Amino acid sequence: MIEVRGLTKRYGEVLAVDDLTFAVRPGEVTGFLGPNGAGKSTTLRMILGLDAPSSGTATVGGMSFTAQPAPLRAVGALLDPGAVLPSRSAFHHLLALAAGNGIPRSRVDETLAEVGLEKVARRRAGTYSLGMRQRLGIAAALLGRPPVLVFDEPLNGLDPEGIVWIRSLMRNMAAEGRAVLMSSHLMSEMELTADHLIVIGRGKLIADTTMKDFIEAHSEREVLVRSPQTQALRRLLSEAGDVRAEDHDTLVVTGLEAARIGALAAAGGVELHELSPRQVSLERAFMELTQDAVEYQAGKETNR
Amino acid sequence: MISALEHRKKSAQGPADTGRATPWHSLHAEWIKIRTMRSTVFVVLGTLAFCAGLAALNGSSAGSEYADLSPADQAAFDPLATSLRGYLLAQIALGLLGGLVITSEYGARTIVPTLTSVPHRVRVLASKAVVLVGVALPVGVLVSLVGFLVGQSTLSGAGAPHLALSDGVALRGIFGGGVYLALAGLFGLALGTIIRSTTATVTTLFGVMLIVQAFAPALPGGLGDWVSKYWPPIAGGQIITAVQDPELLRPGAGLGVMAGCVLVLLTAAFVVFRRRDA
Repeated sequence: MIEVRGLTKRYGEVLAVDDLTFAVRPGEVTGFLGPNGAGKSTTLRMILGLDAPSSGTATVGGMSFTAQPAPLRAVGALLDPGAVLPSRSAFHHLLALAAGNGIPRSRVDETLAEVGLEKVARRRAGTYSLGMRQRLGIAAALLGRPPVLVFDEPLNGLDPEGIVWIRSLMRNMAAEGRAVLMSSHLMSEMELTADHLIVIGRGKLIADTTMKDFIEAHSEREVLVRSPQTQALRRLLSEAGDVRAEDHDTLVVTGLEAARIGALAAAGGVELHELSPRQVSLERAFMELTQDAVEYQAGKETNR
Repeated sequence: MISALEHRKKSAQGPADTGRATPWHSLHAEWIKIRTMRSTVFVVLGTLAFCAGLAALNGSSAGSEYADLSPADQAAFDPLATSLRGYLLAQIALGLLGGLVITSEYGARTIVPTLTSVPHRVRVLASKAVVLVGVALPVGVLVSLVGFLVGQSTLSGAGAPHLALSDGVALRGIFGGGVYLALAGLFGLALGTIIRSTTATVTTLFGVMLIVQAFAPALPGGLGDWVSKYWPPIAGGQIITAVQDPELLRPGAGLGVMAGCVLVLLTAAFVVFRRRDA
């Protein structure tokens, strides 16, 4: 469990992270969402003891990261997939990290197999593709089988296969009871992965909610209805919700559940060919939510 | 029975295992890193080749010129320094190795995984310093020994005065030269920690260790004398001389000045490394 209380980072006049308070609970994937430059990486770096907070605290399992008796067994982190010496092999890269925490060599081989790098483990890391580097970064995070995982933009630049792999890995880790924190600047990446959502903009907390609540609060739900009797159907439904025609045989209804629409149609004796609920893009909701923050940042940059 | 043992072994590695990370673990990690850094091999072999080569060249040329020297110059002839002159470049090489121990981490950004596996920064830097000395001291002694043996044998071949390993100054020069080169490594580590860039560290090493030395005689009177006497790499370099210039520090005192300088720089490096955002 990660707990962040009043976390603040100030660089001169600029508040990169402004009084953040949130928790990352075990058994869930928590999405850490914000536009580029919102302070996500700085927050993660403070949680991991890389940057010192100007004020506030961040703890992992009730203890600051730097006080952990065996850090790799407490938190696994992937901040920068490129962070490996090009002339060193994946095996030695991991072996050195493992050695620092007294993790046995056998666990290094095991982890390499877990991420599917065992065949290239002895090759110089400089020859790796981005996807392989990402897997190496993940392997480093998994070495100590930590109960808490922190991933900074783990899906950036990956091919679809890699995205699916990391996604299912994060889901599995959460299912095993670990706390998983994953940052991204794209809502679409969160939609399929996260259970809980923390949204920040301009270093400030904008939303801290379950994914389900966020979807319900921020997306208009629509139901698509196809019927050969659109005229009759429209008359039936427009008393209860908003109806607009999308095609000659298709209506889009907002403000009514699919079940209710079906019931109304049945009661009115109208034939239905399709009845499917669909969501308005969450990306749009996220962009509206963080618009002020983005605008402020853009303005700030042009002032420099 | 076996499967029970296996099971216990497995669970011992699981998340329930609360084994503490100790300074020994960190030392082990840094040892793996320095031995899997390609530059380490290049530095060691390059230094060895250069020191042996220069000792052979200096030995044969100084040996053949010896007979033509004036009696005063013959009296001041220093067979020890003649054979160990390779330290001038070796100090840059080992300083670079010391710098790379930390600047390679900033260059490849591995400082992030390093510090997220061992967030105890004093422990990280101290481990780096210890493994560096573990490499640089034996290498320094070895290149000095090889330089000495090659140099003395070419001097003796040319019929010039030469030393044997049994001479007291020989061991002082070889081991003292090794210590000096290990100090040069630590000097590079301290610089690299503070500067964080490999290129800037190398440039600084050249400036501090070679350029100042070359230009010291050109500096105006008092300043030139002071620099020639107390500038740490010049003072430390006295350790390889058998015939001392009375104007300069004695070998032991000179090495002490260099050690003091390294101590001050390393202290600054520890303070900076501990305080600064990674």
